[in-house]
Amino acid sequence: MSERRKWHERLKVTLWTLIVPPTVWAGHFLFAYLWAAISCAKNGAFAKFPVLFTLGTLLALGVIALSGWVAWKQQRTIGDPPPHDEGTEVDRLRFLAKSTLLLAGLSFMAVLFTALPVVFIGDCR
Amino acid sequence: MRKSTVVCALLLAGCNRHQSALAPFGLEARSTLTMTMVLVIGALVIALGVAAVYVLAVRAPEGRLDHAGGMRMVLWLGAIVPSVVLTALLVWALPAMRPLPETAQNLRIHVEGEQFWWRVRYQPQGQPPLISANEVRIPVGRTVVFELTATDVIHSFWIPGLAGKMDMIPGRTNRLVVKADKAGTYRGVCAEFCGLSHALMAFDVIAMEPASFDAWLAVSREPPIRTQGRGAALFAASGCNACHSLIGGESIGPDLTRFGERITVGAGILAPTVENTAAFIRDPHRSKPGARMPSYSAMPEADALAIARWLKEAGR
Repeated sequence: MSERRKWHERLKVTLWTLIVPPTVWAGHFLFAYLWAAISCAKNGAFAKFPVLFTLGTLLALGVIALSGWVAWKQQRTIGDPPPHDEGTEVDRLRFLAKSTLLLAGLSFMAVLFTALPVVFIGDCR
Repeated sequence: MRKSTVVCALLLAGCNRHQSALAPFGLEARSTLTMTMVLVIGALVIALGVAAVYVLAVRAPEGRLDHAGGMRMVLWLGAIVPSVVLTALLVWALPAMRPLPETAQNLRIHVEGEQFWWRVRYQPQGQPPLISANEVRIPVGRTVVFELTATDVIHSFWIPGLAGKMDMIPGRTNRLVVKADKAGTYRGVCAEFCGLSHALMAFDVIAMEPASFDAWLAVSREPPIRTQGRGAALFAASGCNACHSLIGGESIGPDLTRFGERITVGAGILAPTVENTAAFIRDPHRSKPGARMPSYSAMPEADALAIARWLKEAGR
C-alpha cells in the first residue's frame, strides 16, 4: 500500500498534466501550419518530407504517448469503496487520469491527422 | 404514398447531365464522385450496423450483457475502429486533393469574373491569345490550367462536372488545373454570392476532341466576315462598340466577336435567339437585374432586331 502511494506521488496527474496532450497538439498544429506557410512564402515550394517536420511530429507523438501512458497507469489506482458521498483524493486522481488518457488518445489522432496532409499533398497551391 | 411520389419527382427534377457533380466529365469530379459514393454507402452500412446492435441490445435476455462487455464495445466500436477507418479514408482521399501536374506547355485559360459575366482569354503556348466571353472551350484529354481572378467583387468559378470550385478574388490569381475526359456541352456557374444577378451568372463549357479544338482555335483567330448593313450602322450609331469589342480586343463589356457561335445569350441564361438578343439589348435588367449595361428602351424593336441579327450572323 505504501509503495503504491509512493508511485502516485512521483507521477501524480494534476490539472496541469491534463492539458499536456492538447497543448502538444496545439503546438504541433501551429508549427506545421506556420512552417508550411513560411516555406511556401520564402522558398516558393514545399520541402519534400523534411527531417525537421518528421522529428517534430515524432516528438509530439512521443510526448502525448508518454503522458497517456502515465495517465493509464494512474487511472488503474483502486478507487474508494462506496458510498461515494463526497469527493476524495483518489476519486480526483482517477478522474484526472482517465480524462488525461482520453485527451491523449484524441490528441494522438489529431497530430497524426495534421501530419498526414503534409506527407500526401506537399503542394503550396 | 402520393406525397412521397411528389417529393421523389421534385428531387429527380434536379437531375441533369450538363451541370451536376454526379455527371462528371473530368478527372477531379470523377474521383470526387467515387469518394462520395464510398462515403454515402459506408455511412449507410455503419448506420444500419448501429441500428442492428441497438435492436440486439434492447432484445437481449436479462443477464446476457455485462458492463465490461459494453465498455469493450465502446472502446473498439467507439474509438479504435472509427480512428482506423478515418485514417484510412484520409490516406485514400489526400492524394486526390493534390493538384494535377502541369507543365509550361499546357493551355492556359485566363478567366475574370465580373458582375455578372465572364471575361475569357485563351493563352496557348507560343501563340497569340484569343479573347472571348461567357463560354469556355477545353480540349478533352489535355491538361488545362485556369487562371482565375476578378475585377469587382469575389466570384467563384465552378464547373460541377469537371472539378471543384475555385474563388476568383480581385488582385489575386488562383489556379485550377483540370483535365476533361468526355466531350460534350456542359455548364458552369458562379458559386460565391456576388450581387443581384449572382444566380444568373453562368457560362457554357464545351469539351471538344483535341483535333476539333485546335481547328476551332485556329479558325477563331481569324476575324469573322461581317456584312456592312443596317445592323452594323446601328451598332456603331448606338455606341455599342464603346463597350463591346468585335475584333477580339480588350473591352469593357463582354467580347462579341464570335457571338453567333455562342449557345446562350446573357452569360448562360437565355436561348441564343435573335428575339432574346434584341430583348436583352432593349432591357438587359429584365433578364439580368443589376447588370452594368444600360437599357436601350428608346431603341425601336426593329432596330434591336437588326443589331441582333447582324451580331448573330458573324462567327457561324
